[in-house]
Amino acid sequence: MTKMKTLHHYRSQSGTTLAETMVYALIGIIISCIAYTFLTSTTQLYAKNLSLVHSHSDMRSVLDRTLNNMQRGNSLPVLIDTSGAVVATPPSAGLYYDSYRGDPYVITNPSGNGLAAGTTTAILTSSMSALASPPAPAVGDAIIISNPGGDVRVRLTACVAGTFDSTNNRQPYTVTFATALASAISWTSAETRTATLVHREAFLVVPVSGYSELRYFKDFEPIPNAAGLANSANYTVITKQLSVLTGEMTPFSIATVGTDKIVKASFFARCTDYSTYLNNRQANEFNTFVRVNTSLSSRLRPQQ
Amino acid sequence: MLRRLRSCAGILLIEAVVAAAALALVIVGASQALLIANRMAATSRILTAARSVVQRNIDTALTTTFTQASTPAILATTGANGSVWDDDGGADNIVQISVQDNNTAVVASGVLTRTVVALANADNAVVLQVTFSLTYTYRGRTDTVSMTTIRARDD
Repeated sequence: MTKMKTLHHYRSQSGTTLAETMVYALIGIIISCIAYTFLTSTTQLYAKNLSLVHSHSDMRSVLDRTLNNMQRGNSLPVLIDTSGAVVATPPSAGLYYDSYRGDPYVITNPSGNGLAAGTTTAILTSSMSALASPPAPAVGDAIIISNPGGDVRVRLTACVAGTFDSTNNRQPYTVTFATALASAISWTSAETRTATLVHREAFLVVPVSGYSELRYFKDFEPIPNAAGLANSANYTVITKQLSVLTGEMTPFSIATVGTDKIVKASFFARCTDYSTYLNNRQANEFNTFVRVNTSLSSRLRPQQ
Repeated sequence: MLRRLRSCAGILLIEAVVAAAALALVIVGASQALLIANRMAATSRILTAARSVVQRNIDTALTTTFTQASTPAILATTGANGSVWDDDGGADNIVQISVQDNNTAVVASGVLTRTVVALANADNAVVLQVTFSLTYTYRGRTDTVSMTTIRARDD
């Protein structure tokens, strides 16, 4: 009896009463509700944070890349559509421009009268001074030759380096043109005619599936065909979070500012990471949508 | 021995309450951290948009045609304190920095000030110091983004 009494006493002291259990359960339920609310709120905030940061980051990348490249532009860009065709009426999905590579390249005057119409080759000579040495011309580059009748632009299909002139620190290149010069470029032996080296590049907004990509083509001359435009080896994706909505896939236009023309860009980024989850959980797509209007001025372009 | 067993069996109500309070503190702290991170990210995005507004005007000032015969409005000289410059239209002297998806909710807008003063130089050349400052208020905090450049005539 003594033993039984001791065990009974032990049980009554070691367990919990029904009231205690109910209080614990209530606390547990409250904590679970708070934890659930906390987890869902945290998930929402996490999604909003990532969307906000991602859309912002992408927009910065777009601005940095386009501004940087366009300021190297040697010409007023040409507006194009997604197939590479020139667009007469802005806005457009893309543009191409001549990226400045270097100058001056002195053009050899073969006859003392300049280059005749129909010429397909020329000799360019550049300085090799460490302080002033433009890059070697390469296939795919183009040269712009200043001419009183209008600058002449021609693409290069071959470039062969000649014998280096160590005395004068000069490097000649024999270049072949893609097409013959359409008009003669005249200058005398007493004059010096130079060329500027450029390379055609392009930006293009292409809808993919639920989003648009801003693609940068480092070689855009000749203009790639449909297969070339779609070949990922030919372009770099700057962002894949641009909008696919009507009117938001054509960010580029050319505005007249005073007597000048400047490229205007209106980029619409829509972060797609959590757009479905955040649907109806944010006002006006605050976290996933960002729009920036800016101007993309070229380094040098015809003043019009 | 029984006292020791009793002391080890289960948790007390006060312990559960303290644990709940500690958990609540963690929850509040974590939520606050996420909210602050969200606000800072939004502020940073507005700052980038504001910077692009100033940058586009600096770019325009640097690249627009400026000759003896033609001085564009953006390069007209101003007083030392500048003048309001409304480059996005509307004639409200307010520049929209960020507009939400519905095209009506303006997240941030500000006043853009253009200051163009002539810089004295030995050659008496027309050299202008161009400054654009955009002052805006977002979430109760006023910020100013400012950029300055130098511009001379084309001819």
